[in-house]
Amino acid sequence: MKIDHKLIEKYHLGQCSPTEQFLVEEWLLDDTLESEPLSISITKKTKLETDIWAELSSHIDQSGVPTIAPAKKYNFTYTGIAASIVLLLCFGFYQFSQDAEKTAAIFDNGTSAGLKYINQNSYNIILGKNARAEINTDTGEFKTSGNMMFIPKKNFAFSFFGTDKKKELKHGETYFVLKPQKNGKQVIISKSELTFLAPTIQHELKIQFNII
Amino acid sequence: MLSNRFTLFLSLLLLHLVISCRTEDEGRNTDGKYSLYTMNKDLGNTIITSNTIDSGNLTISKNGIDIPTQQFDRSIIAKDKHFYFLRAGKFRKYTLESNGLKEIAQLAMQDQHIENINWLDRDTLLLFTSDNKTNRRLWVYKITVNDFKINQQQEVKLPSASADFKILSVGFGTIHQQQLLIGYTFNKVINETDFTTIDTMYIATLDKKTLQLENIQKDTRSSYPGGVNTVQSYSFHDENGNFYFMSCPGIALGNSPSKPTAIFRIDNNSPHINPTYFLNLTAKTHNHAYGMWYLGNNQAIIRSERRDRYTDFSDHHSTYQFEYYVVDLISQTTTKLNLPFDKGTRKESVLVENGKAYITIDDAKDQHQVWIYDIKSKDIQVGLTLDQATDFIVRIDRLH
Repeated sequence: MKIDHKLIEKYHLGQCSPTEQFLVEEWLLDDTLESEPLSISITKKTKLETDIWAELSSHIDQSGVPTIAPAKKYNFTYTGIAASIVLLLCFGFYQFSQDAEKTAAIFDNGTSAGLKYINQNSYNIILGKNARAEINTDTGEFKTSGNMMFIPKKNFAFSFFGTDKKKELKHGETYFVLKPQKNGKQVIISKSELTFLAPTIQHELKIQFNII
Repeated sequence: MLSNRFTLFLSLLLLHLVISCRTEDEGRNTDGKYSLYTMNKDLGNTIITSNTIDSGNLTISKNGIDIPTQQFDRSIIAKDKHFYFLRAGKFRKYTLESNGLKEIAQLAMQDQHIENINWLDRDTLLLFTSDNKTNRRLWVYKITVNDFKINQQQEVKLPSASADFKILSVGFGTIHQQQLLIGYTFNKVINETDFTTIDTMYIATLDKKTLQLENIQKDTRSSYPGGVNTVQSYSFHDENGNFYFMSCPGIALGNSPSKPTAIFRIDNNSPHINPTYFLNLTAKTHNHAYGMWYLGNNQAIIRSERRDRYTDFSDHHSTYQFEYYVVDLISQTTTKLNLPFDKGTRKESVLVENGKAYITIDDAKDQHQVWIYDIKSKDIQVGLTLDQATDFIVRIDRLH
């Protein structure tokens, strides 16, 4: 779905569907730059370049006047260093505790028949009805019941029940983590692999996750 | 000085940004006679076109045109230098450019998806669509693609078969004996990963012009009379006007695996399924199959799975298991072709032309090749090869 001014306006008016709301929030939080190339003609481009160069040339020959910083009257060096160290330590501990909180997490949608959208620093997850996920990004453990969509914000290697090797989940791709099969085996497929499932199941998952 | 140099640096950077880079287009043929749709290891999709598929090597990075997976998938229709796809409520027409597909026309088709298509001639396309919400209703669209107009659009009301089986699957829609025949069945969802199909195949006969329903035939010898044919082919008319279709009750389509995969015939002089013709493929190969392409002279190729090689639906597509058989439709013999195991559930992997069948195979050696089967001499050779950035060649089409 493309985020445009209409969708953002809808978002501010509170008229978005949960999926749209989620997508807008994800877009707002996303700090990667996606810009279209400038649509200007060659002539305009050349003129723009010449103008910038003309503006630049007028400054290039000016010699800079060296500035001398006035000597400080009071020497707070040691106090400053100590304060910085304390500040850094506090910040470090804060960050550490934040990260520690996020590496292992449990999400539960047991009480809801609708979808539950969760936005974490390193991934988004959309829980289907009665779904539950235990995720540890440190150890790579990923335990689930029910169906969910998982959208990594960086590359992860996760181990799933029933397989001995870790599966690489890629940033930028959407994954379906489906409820464990009768043999306990976890099923995880990327959105592009959805096409290989039977059409009836593809359709059912699209309806459940509101992605038609 | 420092600040000036810094300004200069910033300005040069700005200049560099203003004069934006153009993509490298060399090598990306947009006008080849054949097109291959690939799903790649980096999870991207590409279309590669080439004037020959008999030999040569092409690479995804140099020759592939990126197809955004948020917008398209391998069910894209390729015909006469154009591509067609139903997306976001509109049936759209595209041309292929070196930087992607360029939309040139669109038709509103709100909340629907394509179940099946049939080209009546080079300009006329029949679409059989169902609604996204219930997947139970059926519409027929007649579209002329050159001026891109809907000439007929009608809902066909098919009676329910059972209260449990609420989902419609269309297996084929074809003009036979001046009537429109629609093969279909019904599915039941058990949960998000399990479903099954009713034990009957249905064929509706409709007036070709008014699309009025005239009668419905039932056949219980198998179920699921073919699948979505924009993904894979399951039926054809032979030179004499006999219509053949295959049933697909295996786990990849009907998931009613106790029924056999079989080929059925509607004779050229009758609107009814021939009750005595029954080519039971499962009895011959001890497996289910999906996909059938006509070679001419009463021979067809089928793509058959290997039950002993995959576990369940989750590894069905990633397992090297698919075998290709040549089937004699009259003598009912099956001959396995000497080809490596292929992977990928349902693929439009066969193109028949000039006495040859071009078969795309993604094999266990991570080779992604077009294999050429000479129908007369039965020789098999390797043709065009793609590089290992490819994961699956999911379709091969003649583009013009």
